[in-house]
Amino acid sequence: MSLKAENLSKTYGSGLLGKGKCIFRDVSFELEPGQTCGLMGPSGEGKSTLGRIIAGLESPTAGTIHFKDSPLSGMKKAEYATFRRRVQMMFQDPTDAFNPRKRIEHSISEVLKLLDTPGTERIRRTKEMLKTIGLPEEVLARYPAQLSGGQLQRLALGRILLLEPEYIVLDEPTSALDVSVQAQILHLLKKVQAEQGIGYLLISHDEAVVRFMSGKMGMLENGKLKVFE
Amino acid sequence: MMQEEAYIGENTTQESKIRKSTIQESIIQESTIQENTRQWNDFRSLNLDLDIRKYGKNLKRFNRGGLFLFTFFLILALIPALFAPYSPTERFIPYEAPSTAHLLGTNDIGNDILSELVYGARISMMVGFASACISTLIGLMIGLLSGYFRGTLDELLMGFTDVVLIIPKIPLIIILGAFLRPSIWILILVLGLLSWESIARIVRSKTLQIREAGYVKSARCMGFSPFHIMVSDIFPNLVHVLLPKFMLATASAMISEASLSFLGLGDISMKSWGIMLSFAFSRGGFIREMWWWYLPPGVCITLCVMSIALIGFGFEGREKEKRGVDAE
Amino acid sequence: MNTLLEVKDLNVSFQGNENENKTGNKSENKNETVTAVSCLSISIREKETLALVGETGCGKSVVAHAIMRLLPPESIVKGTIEFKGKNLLKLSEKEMAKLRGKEISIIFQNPSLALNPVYSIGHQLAEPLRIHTQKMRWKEKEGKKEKVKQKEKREKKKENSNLSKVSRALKRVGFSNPREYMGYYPSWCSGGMNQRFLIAASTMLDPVLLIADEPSKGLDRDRVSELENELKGLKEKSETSLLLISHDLGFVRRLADRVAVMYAGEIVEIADPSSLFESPLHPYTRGLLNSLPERGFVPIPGASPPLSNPPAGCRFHPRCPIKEKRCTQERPELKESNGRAVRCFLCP
Repeated sequence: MSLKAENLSKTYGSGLLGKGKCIFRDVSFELEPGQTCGLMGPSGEGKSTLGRIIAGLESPTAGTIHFKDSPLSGMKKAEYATFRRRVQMMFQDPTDAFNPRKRIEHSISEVLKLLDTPGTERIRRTKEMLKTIGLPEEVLARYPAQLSGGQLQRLALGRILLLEPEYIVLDEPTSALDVSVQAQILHLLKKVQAEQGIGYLLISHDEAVVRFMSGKMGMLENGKLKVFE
Repeated sequence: MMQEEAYIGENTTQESKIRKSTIQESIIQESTIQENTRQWNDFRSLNLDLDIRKYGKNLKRFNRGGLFLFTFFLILALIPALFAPYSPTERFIPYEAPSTAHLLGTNDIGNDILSELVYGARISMMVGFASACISTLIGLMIGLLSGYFRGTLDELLMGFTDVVLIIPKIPLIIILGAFLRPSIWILILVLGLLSWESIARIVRSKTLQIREAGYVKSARCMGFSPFHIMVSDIFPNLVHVLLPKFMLATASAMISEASLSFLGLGDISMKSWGIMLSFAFSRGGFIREMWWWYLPPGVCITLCVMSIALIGFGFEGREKEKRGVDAE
Repeated sequence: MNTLLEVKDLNVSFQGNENENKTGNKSENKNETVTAVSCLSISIREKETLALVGETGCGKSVVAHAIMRLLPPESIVKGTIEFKGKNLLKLSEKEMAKLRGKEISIIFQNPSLALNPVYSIGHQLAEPLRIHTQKMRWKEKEGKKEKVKQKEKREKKKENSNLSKVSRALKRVGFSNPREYMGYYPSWCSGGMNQRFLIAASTMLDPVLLIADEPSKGLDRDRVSELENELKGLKEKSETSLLLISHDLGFVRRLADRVAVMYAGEIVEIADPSSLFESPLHPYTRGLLNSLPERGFVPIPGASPPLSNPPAGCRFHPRCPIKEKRCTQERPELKESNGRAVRCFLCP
């Protein structure tokens, strides 16, 4: 039931000419549901790249990702679709998390349509989701530019939760936010984790944030991952 | 400024009383140079420094003019019967000068030129819009696909685009026109199929940019299909780039049509403004100095193209104002 | 110490949509007025560092832009901003242009956007010198009787002295080989380096007041501490007063002489950093400090009110844990007592 990464390596710009730049090499770790794993390291060391690879948005140069004991590369289409739903990613910048030309309502219901939820059920689930993330229903009628960063980050989390994920890769979820909003979001993330047993991979450059959220910590430095509890 | 001027004047007079004449001269010289420079600076700040805000306002006014002109031509094209005094095929006495019966006179076979002009609007504009539609559609598709999927597909499509880009358009159409029966549909098709490259390139670069935005990344993460992402996430954010490009493509297609028709490669059965010009040239309009024959279609082409281009600029300008960045 | 800048009862409001990127609270109603800053009074003494702290959208950048007179023309500015006894709001654009860069200069948020990518660093840094000395030349004409040729020579000398000034400024911000860096282009350098170029550019003319608008935003940990050292060095070496606008409380604590906390367009508390951070008076300040990592991320419930429609009474009362009845009705004034000021009924 876990998300496992084995010997991941990533090299950029490798081709016929030159060897390219190695971002990291032989990175392995395991993520359990209901557990938070922090990933730290200076910027430009490939933390975000690692996160994107785990979430399946990019493919590694070498190594495999196992989701529930089956490797990602050899998955059938249906299997991949469940993986796609169960492993989600949340990004740093909340201001571009939603399509700027569409109302929030549209972006949310699109996700539910993807899950083939019928109309009445959609409204119920949207309301439920808003209650979880603690926002009033008025936000649905707004455009992303009319909401604050904190509200948008909550909605981004809420939209992900609609897919009932088992793992979420959090890529610097609070570094674009104010301190008081950061505290709110971190508490919300903890609450959601306690309720739904989601496993987090928390990528952050802020040690305090990682310490607050997680038991396990990893440090990505010079292309190597050092794990300490 | 005034104070400073007076001050310098005073200064020079004081100095001249004390100092020797040579120095005096140089001081006067210097102060005149200063004076000139300052005057120039004043003049520049008053007349030449383009105030962006003022400029924007003027642009807006132009756009309104463009919109007005464009609507006028559109109405002409949609309901020509309302404006044309006669049917364009009805015959009167040929080569007549303007009169109350025929405001712009008649041509070599006795058709009323004003009526011809009004009916020509539909054909000219149809060629423009239809070929712009085709080119925008092709450009959008190729740009989206190569920008979204990147990699090999991108390289193939962009290579293809480059090949199309270097095909000389007008000579090709001339050759095609010589081999095929001249027809407006062929013209539309050829113009449309050969002018999508710039749109494809712009759409591609914009798509490359948007695909890295958070909402596209999270949509990919949530398992939306590429087609869905392109249609509902990327396309709406491209519209503001596409609209002005579409308008400009229309304008350039109209000009191409006119020049090809003038060269005698147009469809004679459908008289566009370009064909009117061509006839005026070949059937003695220029020799007889019948300006009422050859001038109006030329003016119409110019005005129509200008109005469309102005609207295109207007879209671009509005977008710049709204987002504070260049639309491209 | 003399007061250098005195802002009194500053009110800034925007009509309709113009403010959408400024406050993030764009309203659907186009004719709504958004009061980004209301009744703000601060003063900066010579050589003092005043920090303006607050959350996104509380109007702190608007204050900086109001002082520099860089707000869009649609905004309505009331009150007085007195700089060395002159009301900046009454100056003409020309006079203001003379002050900008020379007496007051600003460091903007994004270092890579503030530099023009097509000019070399040296060229860009020399530009303010060129402009401001040109203006001076009209004045220094007094009784001078040099010949035209000499003037040309002087101009060349001036260009040279400009460049040496630039190199000195670069040395001051820690570049050991300034001549080399002057030939660089902004894209060759990292964000932290560009930030230092900007600091060099804004301090080169020895401004009396330097405004730093979120200088630490978007920078890495290491870069932030680098910047901090830079600003500290600047404070020690020069006579410049600093208006530091930031949401990074730790950064502010280490640099500021006085801290003003802003909430929803108002100043809620002014105090020196040690007493502010150790014994905050206003409930908002307390909440803000409790949400810091070292105090365990205790959040303030609720969200900041929209500036287009602030709550009646004390603006913080919907989120306040100790509110009373009168907090919801009356608006508290900023009360001053032994060097601190608080806008709260319940605080002494």
